[in-house]
Amino acid sequence: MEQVEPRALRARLVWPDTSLYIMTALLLVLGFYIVYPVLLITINSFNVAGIGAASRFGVENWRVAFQEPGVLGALGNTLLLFALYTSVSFPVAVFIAWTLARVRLPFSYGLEFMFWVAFMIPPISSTIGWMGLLDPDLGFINIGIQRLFPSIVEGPFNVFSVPGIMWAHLMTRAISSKVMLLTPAFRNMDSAMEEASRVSGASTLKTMIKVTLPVMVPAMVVVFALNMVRLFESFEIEQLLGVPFRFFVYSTKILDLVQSEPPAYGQATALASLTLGVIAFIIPLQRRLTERRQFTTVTSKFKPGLINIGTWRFVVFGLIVLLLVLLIAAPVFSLVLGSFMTRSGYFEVTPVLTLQHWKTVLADNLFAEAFRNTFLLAGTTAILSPLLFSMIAYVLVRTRWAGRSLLDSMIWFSAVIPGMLSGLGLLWMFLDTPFLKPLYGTLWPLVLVVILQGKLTGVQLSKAVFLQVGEEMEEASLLCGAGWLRTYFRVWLPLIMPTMVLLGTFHFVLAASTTSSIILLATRGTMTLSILALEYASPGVALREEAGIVSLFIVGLTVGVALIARALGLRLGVQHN
Amino acid sequence: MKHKLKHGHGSKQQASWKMGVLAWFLAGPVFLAGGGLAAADPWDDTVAKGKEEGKVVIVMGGAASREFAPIFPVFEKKFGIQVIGSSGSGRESADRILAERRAGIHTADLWYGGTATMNTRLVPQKVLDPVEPELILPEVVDTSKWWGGKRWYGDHESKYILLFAATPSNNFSVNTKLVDLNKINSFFDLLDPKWKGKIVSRDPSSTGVGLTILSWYAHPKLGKDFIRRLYTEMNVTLVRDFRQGADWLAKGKFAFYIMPGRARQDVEKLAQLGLPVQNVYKPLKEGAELGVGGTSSAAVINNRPHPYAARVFLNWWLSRDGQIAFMNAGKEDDSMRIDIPKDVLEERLRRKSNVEYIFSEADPEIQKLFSEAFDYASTVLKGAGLK
Repeated sequence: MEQVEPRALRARLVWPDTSLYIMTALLLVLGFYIVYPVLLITINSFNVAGIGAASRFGVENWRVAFQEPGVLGALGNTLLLFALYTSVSFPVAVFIAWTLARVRLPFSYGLEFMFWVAFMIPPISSTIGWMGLLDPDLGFINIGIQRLFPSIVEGPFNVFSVPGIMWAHLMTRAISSKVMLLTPAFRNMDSAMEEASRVSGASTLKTMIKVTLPVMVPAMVVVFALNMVRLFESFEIEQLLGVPFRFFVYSTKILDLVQSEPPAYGQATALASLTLGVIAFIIPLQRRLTERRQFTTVTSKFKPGLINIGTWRFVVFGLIVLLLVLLIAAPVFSLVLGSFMTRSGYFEVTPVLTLQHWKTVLADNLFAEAFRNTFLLAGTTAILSPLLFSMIAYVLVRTRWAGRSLLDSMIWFSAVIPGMLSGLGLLWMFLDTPFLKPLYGTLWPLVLVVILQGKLTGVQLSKAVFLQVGEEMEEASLLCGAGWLRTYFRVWLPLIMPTMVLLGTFHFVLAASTTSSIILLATRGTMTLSILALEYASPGVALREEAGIVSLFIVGLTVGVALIARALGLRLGVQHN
Repeated sequence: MKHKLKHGHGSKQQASWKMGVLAWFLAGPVFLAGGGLAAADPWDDTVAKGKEEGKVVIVMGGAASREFAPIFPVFEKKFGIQVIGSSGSGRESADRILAERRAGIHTADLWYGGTATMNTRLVPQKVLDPVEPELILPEVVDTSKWWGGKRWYGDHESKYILLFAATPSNNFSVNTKLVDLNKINSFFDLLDPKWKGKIVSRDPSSTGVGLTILSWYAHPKLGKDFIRRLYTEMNVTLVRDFRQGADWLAKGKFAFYIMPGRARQDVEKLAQLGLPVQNVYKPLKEGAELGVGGTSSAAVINNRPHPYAARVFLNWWLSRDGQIAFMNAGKEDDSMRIDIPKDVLEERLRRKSNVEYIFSEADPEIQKLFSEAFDYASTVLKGAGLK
């Protein structure tokens, strides 16, 4: 009989691969933090008992929600608006991103940064700014036109209309977010491909359409999908501009239910679940578009380079600057000027200007603490999120581990419940979980929530970038004996640094401005600037100018951090000199 | 001499004995009560225990926390008990409290806020304790110091939600350049066709708007018909943002702003800046109404972690000192106490002794109509395409 050494015997036993442990840990941990709150909210939606009564389960909430008059109309309005502003914002953003990343343009990095600044401005501030300009009766632009041309009796622009809402979306984040997310991907383009196309006789435009854009499909699909999944979250613009002329979108219907007395969370959840349909459409589309082809643009033979378009670059430069003026000037003007006005938008009161609002904010003993909490919260998120999500993206794209589809689907699934409902699920999760309960009342739940809040964007964007980078550099590193971690930090990180910086900044902005997902977990001691601004703007407090000042501080903080991060990131990323 | 001494000694013995009996009758009850040499005062005892607890946690939302911020140090200095307020709207606070209690966590002692959330979410889920047993200060217990000779409650059992202030309110505001207030003497003047398209309203079926819809719904002369006609015949513009309505009123885009809720403070601010707006407080033909603001009611949360500190705060709050401080802080709500100076409040905001008010929020029968009123408003708005 064969004698088997114990060591050999152990070697013959089938030990699970390390990948299995890692994937299991990822699925369990992320599954718990992502899926559990969604499940809690969803299960609650089937509880049809009255308030104070013992739980009773049924489908009444779902039936009532979808039978509400106007729901289908609101859904139609949502899709119409989305189609309108996306059909404009997407091609414009793609063109701008291509221009900033691929064309020799003056101050291209500075212009790109200004799109980041535009993204950092709270949408509500921008919308209020445009209301002040385009209100048909009171807007400054309309009044100015009527004074210049007395024959015009009615202001030509009306912000309280479908075109007005579309304009507000374009002027808030519809364009800036896409430019911000697409530009780094375009920058990772090997110019050799474009050179080959032009050498073959193709024009710059034809090269862009036939060569550059097809290779950018993963990034563009991700950006489009991320916008689509947020379809039912946007409500601030529609609240201000749509409700007065009886134009309702799906998210305002959900918000109505959340804000009713008592709140109808069950019905709101039922309506929000429609996002599942959107996700069910996006996931296979995304996989179909990205798994069949090669999208490598960064290889060991990567050649940086920019396209020269001659004097056209000044025309393009001018157009981009004009767009930035529209994106930034109106809201910043509204915010800054408003903060010094006795009442924002009123030039007929005495005194018109005052420092009182600034004094109120700076003297508020909550302000300093909120500033500190925001910096801690957003700073931690900005550092940890890109690292965590890029590693998850690596697993999804660069490995063949079992369970990847499930992990990817789980991350998409988390977008089912919008922020106005997810806060409740997260509160229940922390209070119902023994090992999380001791954290309740501290800053830690907020840190955890804001880190995970950006998981969809973080993972999907990182995936798009990983698809661009060739395998040979990683293989070379591993062949030289470097372990995975060393390869990740010495090879991968520099290559994807611009995207990491982008994600860090994006998550910083998100963390600094988030309210709905953390407000139920925040206490007076763990208040953030965004919650303080919300409190200032609430009807009972009615200090909107002070809320605007706090928003300015948030923007200032994020701009400052973004500047530093970009300076570091651009030095380490792929150079295009 | 000896005779005299003998006689005197006997008298002294009798006197001593009698003094001892008298002392026993006087001191006995004290010793029996365990109070030592002096009888224990319940209030002092409560204050001492409250000090040991160290703090009282009050759910009151950001607005009230700010409005009452100047008052808290007065209380803290007097009693050595810290006051901790909270953040968030009534809905958010209720979400938090209910979730905490489900997890066995009890963080809050008192609730100061609008009666709508308390009635629709806290009372049905038995979160509150009756208020009366908590009241121990003689000046608080004495109902002769309260308007109408009684304490007023805002729930249908009249024991959980104490209303400590109520102010004349018609729940609408006007642009004084467009509207001659002398010609507005009835709620039905709002239905005059000339005002069609000139009325802006907050959503009456959503939180934060107060209980106007309940008072109109239950009003014997207004009721469902008035509400239906207002929102279906008058081409009302609905706003969700309170400030949007106030700004439009001030700029003359609209003549009336109805259901402003807490936004009436914003209208007051605009009026103080010289803009042509005014909250309407005068009694109308259908009757004068009293309204309770979002900071005029108090409730006691059961299983509270600081019961004595809560009792101290509540009693102090309802005392003369507390109510004077409350009125000085907000200058917009008329305390239910009638033994304190009201000069700090504008005359139009004070209850008049010669006016009979309709006080819907304190009527137990009307309290039962909460959900019905909100549902009706929601149905009317949807039928009118406003929601």
